[in-house]
This record gives sequence, C-alpha cells and structure tokens, in this order.
Amino acid sequence: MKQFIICSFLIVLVTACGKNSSKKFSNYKSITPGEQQQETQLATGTYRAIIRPLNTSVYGMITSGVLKVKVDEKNFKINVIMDDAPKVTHLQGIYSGTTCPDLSADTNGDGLIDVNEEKRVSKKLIVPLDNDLSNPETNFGQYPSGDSYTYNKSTSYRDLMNDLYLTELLSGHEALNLEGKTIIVRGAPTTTKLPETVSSEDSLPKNITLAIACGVIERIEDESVIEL
Amino acid sequence: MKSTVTFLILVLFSSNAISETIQTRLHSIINGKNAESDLVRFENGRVAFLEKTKRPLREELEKKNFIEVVMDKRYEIISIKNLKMQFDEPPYFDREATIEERPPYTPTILKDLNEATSMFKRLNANYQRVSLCFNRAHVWSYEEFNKNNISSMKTFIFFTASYINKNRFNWWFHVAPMVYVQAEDRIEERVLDYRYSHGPLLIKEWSDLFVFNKRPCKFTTKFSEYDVNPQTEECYLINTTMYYWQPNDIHNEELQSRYMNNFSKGAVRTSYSEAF
Repeated sequence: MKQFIICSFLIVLVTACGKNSSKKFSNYKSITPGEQQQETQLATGTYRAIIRPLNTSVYGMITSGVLKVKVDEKNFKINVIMDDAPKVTHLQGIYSGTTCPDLSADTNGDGLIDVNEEKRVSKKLIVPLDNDLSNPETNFGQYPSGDSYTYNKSTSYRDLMNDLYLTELLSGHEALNLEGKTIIVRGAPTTTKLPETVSSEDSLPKNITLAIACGVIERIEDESVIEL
Repeated sequence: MKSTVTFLILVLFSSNAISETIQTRLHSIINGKNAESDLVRFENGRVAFLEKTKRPLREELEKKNFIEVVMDKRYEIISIKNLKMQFDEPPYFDREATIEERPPYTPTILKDLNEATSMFKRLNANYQRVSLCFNRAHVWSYEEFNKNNISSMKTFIFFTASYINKNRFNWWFHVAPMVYVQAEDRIEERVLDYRYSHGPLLIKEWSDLFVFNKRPCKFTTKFSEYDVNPQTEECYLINTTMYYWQPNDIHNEELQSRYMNNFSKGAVRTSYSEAF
C-alpha cells in the first residue's frame, strides 16, 4: 500500500513511474496454466457494489457510484461510475476487508475516518483500479479524476492475475474472489483544510488518501441486470 | 488558423464554465438578501442561484414550464430553454389517493435491527444513475409493501436557504424510506437510504450525512414552517406515511386538508419509469 500510494502520487504528478516499476518487478514470474485454471474457477461471475459516501462533511458533496465486474474464463471487465465527487484525482482499488468503515472506525473521535483508521477495516489492497490493470510497466499508474467519471477497463484474466502476483498484491496461492470485498475511492478537495488529527501515509497530503466512498462487492445471480 | 484557435479557446472556456444541465420545472424562488443571488428551487430537488440582474430569466422561470436549465459550476443559472413535454404531466395531486380526514395508519414495527438490515439489503438496487430521490424512495416503499406487507414511513429532510447558501449545497430536499424498529425498551426510527448510506441509520446519523456541521435538524409537521424560516435552522425533518411522494404532497395536505391514504398509481408509474 505504501509503495502503491507513493508511486501513484508521483505518477499523477509527473506520469513517469513506468521505468522504475519495471526494475522493481524484475522478478516477474508467470503463473502456470494449472494455477490459472484454479483461479478462474473461483472467480467467474458477475459482481456489483453500490458505492456510498464516506467523510461527506469534509467536502460538501454526496458522492455515490456503482462498480460492476464481469469475470469469465478469459476476461476481467470492470466498470466504475462515480457521481458528485470532488474534482481531483481519485485513487481507487479493491480491498480485502468485507465491510465499509462506519463512525466506529473513527478511533480518535474527530468525526473523520482517515486512511489509517479506515485501513483497519478495509485491510489490504488487492486490485488497484488504475489506468492499466494488466501491464506491470504502467501499473500503479494514473487514476481517474473529476467530479463525475466513468472508469472502464477490460483485460485478460490471466494477465491481471500475473500482474497481481508479480506486484505481490496477491500471493502465489491466493485466489481472487471478489465477493464480499470492498472498493474504496479516495480524494478530498485540495482546498479543504483537514484537521490536524487527520493522519495520512508516507508524507502524502491527507486529501489524497482520505476515503470519500466505499462499497461492498456482491455476486449477482441475475446477470441481466448488469450491463458492461 | 486564427479562427481555429479562437474556436478552441471558446470551446475550452465554455466546457469549463458550464457545470451541469438539468431538465425540470420550477418549484419556488426565495429572494436573496440584499445583493445575494435568489435561490431557485426546482421540483426535482435541485437548487440553483440566479443573479438579481437576470430579470428575463426569472420571468421565464416563473412561467413554470418544463425547462432545460444550464448552470455553471457554482450553480448560477446561465440559460433557460423551454422544452416540449416528452412525457405525461406528473400526477401532482391525485384526488383518488387522498381523503379529507387524516386516515389511521399503522406502520409496521420491525422486530430488531437485523430485520431492518435485511430489508435494507433487499431494496431494489437497479435504479438509474441519474434518478430522483423521491422516485427511488417511492418504489422502495411500494415494493416492500407489496412483496413483504411492510407499511413503512418516509423521512423528508428540507435544507434551508441559509444552509444552501453557506455550503453551496445543491439540493433543497431529500427523502428516503424510514421504518420503526424495536430496540430493547424503545422504538427507534431507522432511515433506509439505499443509495447513500451503508445500512439502516438513526435519523440523526442520516441527517449528518448531508448536514456537514452535524447540527440537528428541527422536526416539524408543516411544510410552511420550513418555508417561512429560511434563516434560523440548517434543516427541517418531516415524517410521513409511505404514500407521500413529493414535497408537494405534504404542502397540499396543509393547503387543502387532503391526506394521502393510498399509493397514487400515477406516482408509482412515474417513479418506476424515471428511476428504474
């Protein structure tokens, strides 16, 4: 997570993290077809998360959105639509936690759930939803921005899994099962002065790491309600 | 070359200046104090601001036609265009769904928070991305009544002009279904706002999502109390039965002493077609 955020931030600013990434990921190792088969069977399906606002008091908007994912034997297709978000870049990703944080996560009682408080609930980043889901050269790259955006990505399931393994977001034997996981969207306005009590990570501005929305991913049995 | 550059500059400038276009009808206008812009409230729950110098735009608004409104990013109105109605006139006042005396209404009391959470989770998630809160709330209430025989309530929150001006907030009201829940020795009111909350919330928790300084909203039973006190509070709350659809239903009750005692078929049809 630490490297993810640092690199994300730098790339957002200078869009030049690719070279360093390729050095860092020099231990690239493709998974075997057998492993691939196992993962595919576990993850195939259609998923949805209703993304609801968090920390609304700091940015004066009621952000909401929807995540839709379709996974079949070959492809991983994802669509995130967000509305009424602050006009900034939004780090977003799928996390291993199974619930969205509520005010009980606000352990210092300042009325906001900062990144460190939130991560006790959202836990580990599994899939960064950046500009390129499957390319290690550009992974941890650019993220969507704006007050209303649509994020549409499609990649081969195998490439995605390879990418997650080589970047160590998933371990070699871990399955990617989206059901019950969470999506977190970050990014409060840079003009908002957050209280001293709000913490951040890696000396990054608090506004960048503060979560503004979250949703729990559910498997959808009636696939006809999901259009991708 | 010169004209191309000019055109590009204009395109860039205009796309930056225009924030949003909405299609709706005027609800009311609250005059701003001194040099403040007037606050325009639309029937779809949105607000906009209108500079006092833009008199022709105000006159156009006051015709109460179905219009397209273009706003800048501060929600100041830039232009208004009359639209031909593309669908039936909404059933603002459905006499068949009302009676002249306040009807008895027995809301369902859910046995615990788990039951409220189950209800929350089964609410229809297939709403349109661009949809109105009162249409979503109406369908959720209607479906719970029809499928599970739950007589729910609705909680309306009305934001005052003072609050809207201070925060440049872009709604003047919001509504969601509410249920009564047995909790040990008392009965709690829990709001089921499927789009914006992560579960059934107490009314204060729910209003805190929208009222950023977390000041409590004042409960009232009359729309006029909210309407004539735009400066003293941040917000007002009104609880109604599940049959109430829009603020107009609440206002009509006060003005005409007619009470909703059924789901208006027109309102349900309109809610489904707009929101789902």
